[in-house]
Amino acid sequence: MKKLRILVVIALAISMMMSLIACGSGTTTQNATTQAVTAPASSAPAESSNAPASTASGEKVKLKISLFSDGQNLSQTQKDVFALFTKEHPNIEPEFMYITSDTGNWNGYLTKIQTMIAGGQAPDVAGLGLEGVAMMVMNNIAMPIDDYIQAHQDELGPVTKNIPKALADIFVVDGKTYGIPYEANSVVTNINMDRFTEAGLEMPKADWTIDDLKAIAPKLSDPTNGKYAFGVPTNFFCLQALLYSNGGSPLNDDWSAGAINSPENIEVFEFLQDAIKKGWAPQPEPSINDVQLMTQGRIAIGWWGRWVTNDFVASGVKNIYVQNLPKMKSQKTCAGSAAFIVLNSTKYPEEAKTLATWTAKYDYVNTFMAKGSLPANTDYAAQICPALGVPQNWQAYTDVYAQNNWRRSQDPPEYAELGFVYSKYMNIIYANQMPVKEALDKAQEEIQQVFANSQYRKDPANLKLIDSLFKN
Amino acid sequence: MILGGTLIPLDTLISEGILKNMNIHFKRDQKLKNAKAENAIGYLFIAPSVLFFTIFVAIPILLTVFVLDFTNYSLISPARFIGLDNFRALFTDPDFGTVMLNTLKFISFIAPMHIILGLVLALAVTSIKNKYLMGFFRTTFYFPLVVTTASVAIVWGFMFDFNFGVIDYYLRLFGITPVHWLTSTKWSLLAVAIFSAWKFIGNAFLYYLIGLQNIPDSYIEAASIDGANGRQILFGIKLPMLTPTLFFVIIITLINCFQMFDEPYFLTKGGPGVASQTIAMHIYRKGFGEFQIGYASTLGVILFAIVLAVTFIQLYLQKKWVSYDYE
Repeated sequence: MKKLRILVVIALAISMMMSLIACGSGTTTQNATTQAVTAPASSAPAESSNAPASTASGEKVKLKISLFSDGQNLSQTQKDVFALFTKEHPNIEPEFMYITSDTGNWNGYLTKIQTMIAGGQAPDVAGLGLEGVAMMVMNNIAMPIDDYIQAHQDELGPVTKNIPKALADIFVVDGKTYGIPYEANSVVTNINMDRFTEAGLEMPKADWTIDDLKAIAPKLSDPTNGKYAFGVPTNFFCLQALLYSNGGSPLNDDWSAGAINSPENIEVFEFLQDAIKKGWAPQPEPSINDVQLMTQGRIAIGWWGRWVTNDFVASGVKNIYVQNLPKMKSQKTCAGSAAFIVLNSTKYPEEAKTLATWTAKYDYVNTFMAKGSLPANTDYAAQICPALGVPQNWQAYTDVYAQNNWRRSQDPPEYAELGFVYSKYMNIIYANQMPVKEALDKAQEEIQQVFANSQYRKDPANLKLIDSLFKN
Repeated sequence: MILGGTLIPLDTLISEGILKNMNIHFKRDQKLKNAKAENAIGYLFIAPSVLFFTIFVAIPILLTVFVLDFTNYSLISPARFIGLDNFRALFTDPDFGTVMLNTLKFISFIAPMHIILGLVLALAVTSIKNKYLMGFFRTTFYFPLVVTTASVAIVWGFMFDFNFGVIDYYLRLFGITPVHWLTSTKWSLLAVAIFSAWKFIGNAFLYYLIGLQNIPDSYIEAASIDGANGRQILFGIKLPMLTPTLFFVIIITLINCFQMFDEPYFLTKGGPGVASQTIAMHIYRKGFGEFQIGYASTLGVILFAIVLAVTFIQLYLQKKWVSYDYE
């Protein structure tokens, strides 16, 4: 009896230990399984000699693809588009990893991707906003795809020819291409037309100015009833657009130092802080964001790219009009692009490159950007944007590229640390906890400190890469 | 019987008690054998926990204290030894002082609230005679603890909202100027503290309740027969007998307060700026927001040292006021 008890205990203990060990062995098991069903390499490029390719055997290659998600799974239509891909490439089976961002932008998504890479759970292909390009390349995480593009010029040439060169160049570092952009959002003025009609106002013209905005703001504001003229940008990407529009920028032109306390930037921040004090804009609250304020009709104007049309459509808000930013010293806005990149750690580079570049084609772009976000390909944008019917004057999104009226978001490899500095002082200024000049002087000190402590800046090879990043 | 190569008659063995001694030795050996077998079973039972603890607690602690805080490890690039640079960086970190001060402010507000208010609630509930009413209050005070912090933080976020929050609504109703609870450096700490107190006071309450229920009724009855009034029973019997629980609650509350993360993270994101950011949030931000794992480890070591010191001080002081001798 006693022996039986001991045996039971041993069996229990072993099973519990095995279950614990099993928790940490997912990758190994999965990789082993995947490798077991695939054939040895035949078509892998030189840089990945250890990579088994599967095309020869006709066995399926499972590729993990990470997508920036708003917390919802893919719709059936979105899943179906991958079925089209699998039809074209029967040997490749994409597995989706939906990654949400707790910061609401690419920074939070990239944080999770980095953690996955560190944990040995790296995807083969990852969607990447321009924020992460420098960091991914400088840490040797991303794989160049020039060889693939070269070899598939017939197929990819018609796709890339309609992508503005500057948007594509964002994914070129030190002469090597890391992705073909599928998405490119430019920040424009979004207007709730019903609120303008209520106030008896016309839609602003393309060359409207900041003075025009100041003139109409009181007419659109009724703070006692929770109605405001505009929402101050809470996303730094969008705020950067206003800084560019006034001739300012967070960093200097070669991204070697901060420039956040320049007179142009101070002017913009003071305008926004004053707007809150005057009741033209609500003080941002953590419980509700500026897009939600717009869908509720509580603000009449906001500054975002086409990614918000998804929220408008979902909330039944259709009377939206978009226009250029109000002209200050210039009328340049902030824009950027996103692409799928291939990770160096993939065992199937050829297949991963096929999948990554396929996302720049019409099927993927049309399915994923039908309701929100702007295609990088101007031809696709011209087909997709008017089909939705929201917003009106959608050409404002693409005109900025045609007129070269934009600058890319300034994202050196230290983007995450800088993001915290920007966010911290935006909060402080909006909450009127500090005069703008004092806050921006402190922000400037912290930016300088980020650069001084940066490991990237201590290596001449990395400095060369930073120099080679596309800047406009 | 042959002992040591000599033949000894059985009656000699019995008369000299040798057989009895042998029997005792045999029984002792048997007992030892049984004890060893039982120990082995015990070790097997704790093996999974020990393995879990070693992998997920002990090794990370050792790595943090002896390795990572001396490196510039960033998760995606290899660690490089940088000596005491991370400790020097504490003096140039613009937010370190603020987050430490915030943590101390939270502790000075939340800890007394948990420790004192939790006790008051427990005393009040134990004094209720109706068992259904008692059960109702017990559930009510403990309920916030079983709800996910993230979900109730959303609700509290709406309650604290300046424009449509119920708290500011009532302030306006009574002619009081509403405040920006979550976006003002002046009020955000208080908002987080109020939420934290509501969310976690049930913890201290429960410990006190158990402590109070463990006090034998006979002590209180005897005191009542001797003419002691309620105040005398409270200060003469209940509180002295509750000191071990009180000590435990103080230790646990202080440790939890030092590690406070959920409440500011979900309610204010540490803002405005870093006005409500705690040291635990700062560690998370540096480690998993900026990927400065080495520096985050240094911050973790500092926090660990502070918590350890505070706990040791309490352990030393408890000898002067905690009474364990009532049993």
